[in-house]
Amino acid sequence: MFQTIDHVGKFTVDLHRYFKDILVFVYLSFRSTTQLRMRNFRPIVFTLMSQIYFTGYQALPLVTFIALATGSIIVLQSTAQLSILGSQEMMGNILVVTIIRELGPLLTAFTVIARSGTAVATELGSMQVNKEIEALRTMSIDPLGFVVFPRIVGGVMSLVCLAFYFNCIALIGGFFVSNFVSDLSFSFYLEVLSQALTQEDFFLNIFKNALSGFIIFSISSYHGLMVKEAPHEIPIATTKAVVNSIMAVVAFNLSISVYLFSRALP
Amino acid sequence: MKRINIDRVELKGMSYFYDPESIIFKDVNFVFKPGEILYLQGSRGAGKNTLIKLLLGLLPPTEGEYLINNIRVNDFSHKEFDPFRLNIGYSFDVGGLLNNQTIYENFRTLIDYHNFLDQHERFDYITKMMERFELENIKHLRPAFISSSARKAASVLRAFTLKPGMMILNDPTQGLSAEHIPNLVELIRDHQRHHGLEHIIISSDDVGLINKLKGRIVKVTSSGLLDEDQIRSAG
Repeated sequence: MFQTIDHVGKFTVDLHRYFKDILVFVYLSFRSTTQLRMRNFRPIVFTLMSQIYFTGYQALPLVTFIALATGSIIVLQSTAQLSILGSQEMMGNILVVTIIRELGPLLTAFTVIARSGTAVATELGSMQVNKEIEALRTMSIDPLGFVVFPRIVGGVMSLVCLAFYFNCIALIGGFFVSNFVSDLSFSFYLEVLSQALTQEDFFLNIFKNALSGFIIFSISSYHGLMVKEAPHEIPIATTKAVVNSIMAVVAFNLSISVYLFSRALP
Repeated sequence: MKRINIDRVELKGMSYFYDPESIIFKDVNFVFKPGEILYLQGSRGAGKNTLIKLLLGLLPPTEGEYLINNIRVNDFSHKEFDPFRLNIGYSFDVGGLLNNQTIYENFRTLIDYHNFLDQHERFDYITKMMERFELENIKHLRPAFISSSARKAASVLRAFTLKPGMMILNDPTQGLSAEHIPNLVELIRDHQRHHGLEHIIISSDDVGLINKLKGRIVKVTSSGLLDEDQIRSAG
């Protein structure tokens, strides 16, 4: 029994240390950037724009496909099930809860982890191996401010915008795709949707996505820079970044949902 | 950020070890004299790279003192050392260029980050620098798409961008095409004459370079930096 307690204790301590290290790492990157003068921002803005282009713009085709598929499935299934029960007016609530509150943030985050989390961890790992990080230090350019900060900020901005795009495509595009096999009217669809959608859903969506982006890019950057000097460390770091990002994002989304659910109980 | 001129560089009783079992340097005393070209030589693992990292302020000595202008800089944070580091140019033996940027951007990033030049001046400045090593035609390519000798030339040249007062070159001729070695020599002389380059430390065994650019050769050993006389007297 004591062995189990030891294991649980070690796991808890390691987890605490891991997140503490990441928070310190992110804090230092923000601190380093805020100490710069305005004119020094030019190279950082360039990196930030590249990150937004790669994480946001280039991910649009993949996100469109996933959003269309998800939206169609949910609209079709809810139409079928709710028509059996005769309560189609509930469709708006189901769509808001599943797409905007739960699946939208989660699926967008998974897409970004797969595309950009891996890319960031690999790129920063390669920069360590090729002595680029050391070169930045020798040129008095703080890698945390120059490399990490724009990736986190660019990642957060991209994820928030991508998730908004995901919601629009899933809700509107999903309806049109499912319209091939169902006879749901668009005016009814829009009416139930607008009745169900509240301001809280909108802010919750932004909050969830911003924090998911923060988690993904902090963890990916951290593991990328943990590479010391050998190329074989890069895939190991990338795998750790992906696994830990997925677990952290799922845990975060789950805890928010549980909290909101418990708050809604009478 | 304001950079500080580097007049006197001294190691005083400096030791460096990862753990007491593996000592890299023990009680090293050495003064890097201004105006002198110093060649660092030594067998593999003698500690040349560690010494360079110590001089760049990337590693603090384990014991003893590292003095710049008689200021003890051992305990300086990376940020506190920056005003000195801004006046130190360094080129790597291998790698060091930012691979996700073009050759031109590698120079531009450094200039922009430190506000070294105005926007309208920097293009001409960088292009003129690149002409020394015939890099101007490939300046908009990324390092992966140019030859290794051009990469080496760009890496060496970038170290001179901010016109530093102290230059540390790690094997600058290794991988550099032979026709560009006279250009390198001329570049160093030019910066000595016109841009206030005072301390030149070159880690190299290249006899051709040493013959062209006369300097003092020191052997890097765990007990210190020994010149030829000291090696002879030590037997």
